[in-house]
Amino acid sequence: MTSDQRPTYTNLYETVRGVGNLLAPEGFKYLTEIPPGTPESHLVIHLSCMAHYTPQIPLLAQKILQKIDLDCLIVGGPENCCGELHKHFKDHDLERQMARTAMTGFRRAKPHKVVSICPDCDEVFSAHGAERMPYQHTNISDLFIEYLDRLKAHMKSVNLRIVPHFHTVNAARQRDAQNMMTILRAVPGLQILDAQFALGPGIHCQTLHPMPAADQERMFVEAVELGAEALVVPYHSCYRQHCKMQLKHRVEVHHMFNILAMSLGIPFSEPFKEMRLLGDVDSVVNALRSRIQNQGYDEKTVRAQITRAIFC
Amino acid sequence: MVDNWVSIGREEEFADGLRTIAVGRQRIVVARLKGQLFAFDALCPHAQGPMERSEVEGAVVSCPLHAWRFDLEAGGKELHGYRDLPLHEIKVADGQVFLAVGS
Repeated sequence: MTSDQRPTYTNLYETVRGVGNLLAPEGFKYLTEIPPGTPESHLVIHLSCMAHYTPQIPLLAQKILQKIDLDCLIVGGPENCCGELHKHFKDHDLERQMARTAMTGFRRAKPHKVVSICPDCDEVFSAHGAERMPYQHTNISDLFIEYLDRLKAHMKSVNLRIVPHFHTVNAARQRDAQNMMTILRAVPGLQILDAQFALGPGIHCQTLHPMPAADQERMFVEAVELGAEALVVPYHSCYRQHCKMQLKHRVEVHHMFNILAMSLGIPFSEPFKEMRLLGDVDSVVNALRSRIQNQGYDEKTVRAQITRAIFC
Repeated sequence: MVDNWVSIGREEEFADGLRTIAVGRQRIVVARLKGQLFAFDALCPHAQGPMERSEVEGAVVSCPLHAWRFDLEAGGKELHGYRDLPLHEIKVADGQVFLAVGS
């Protein structure tokens, strides 16, 4: 990307807000700021920017925890961005300010634990002193490991043959990969297949550094050859990058929380995938038109946002 | 009624765009957008983002941290319904730009 093509923070965050609102399922609520005087909350789920495009992921996290009587606050919006976008554009002073603003804001709920959905957020918060906060900050996969025994008591069989996709670039991502495998192995009925080409590049399948198309194709071809019915991913970003492959291969793409939800009998919708599988921007705008109008958005602006968020 | 105006320079010194000035211990952004002059604190009312690095679209300035968007023509109204950006009074007289101190 050249500097001429650099998108503005305004465009990026307006896309997060706009597309996030348009795809939000019924009942999905999050705070952009924790108001002073908010009762103490044991747990805060940090909803990172791009995770707004896949709102079933934080919503499922919340519903899964409710299954074992754990309540949590979801805190998100650009107001709680970790600073990864600023890091990407080398505005490191702003990155630091973003990270500290978000981490300080979480303190208002006096949480014992803050969990992020996105591995970029883990990395940026860690780089800016997450360990000095009065709460523990981890990836959300750690949380489900902590409560896995309690969740197991509610699990029903999920009869699916799956290939797990993962990232192992550093110790934190290796831990997430192990966590995902532990979670999936706990789901009765799930048949986990041994694949050779399901390893993703870097920290996660980022929009700007996606899995090369040839590698992605090879991963799906192998999954089909193994007789897999689904590819299961640990991150929202991988889910976004790979779900379009369902148009070509008879392999469903699922976030690991989808599998947990199936096992726990929690119904869910997949608005991002539903839109992406429509295949083009016109079809998505048509499908969302009443929401676009009801929310007072300008269709031309939304069209550009959908292109950026769903068809990138 | 403002009775404490300070001169901050000649009108031609404030070209299109944003310029930060110091008035006492306060840092103020003076913006000439769509031909009009506006003035506001250099720190965003949300999280103290650097408003002098705002992204500008027409007369809307957007904080470079979280993209809170303030419509200067609408008195600094935040377009998502968050907190507004207080504007300082500013006027031009005889080619000189004056800012209301303490406004």
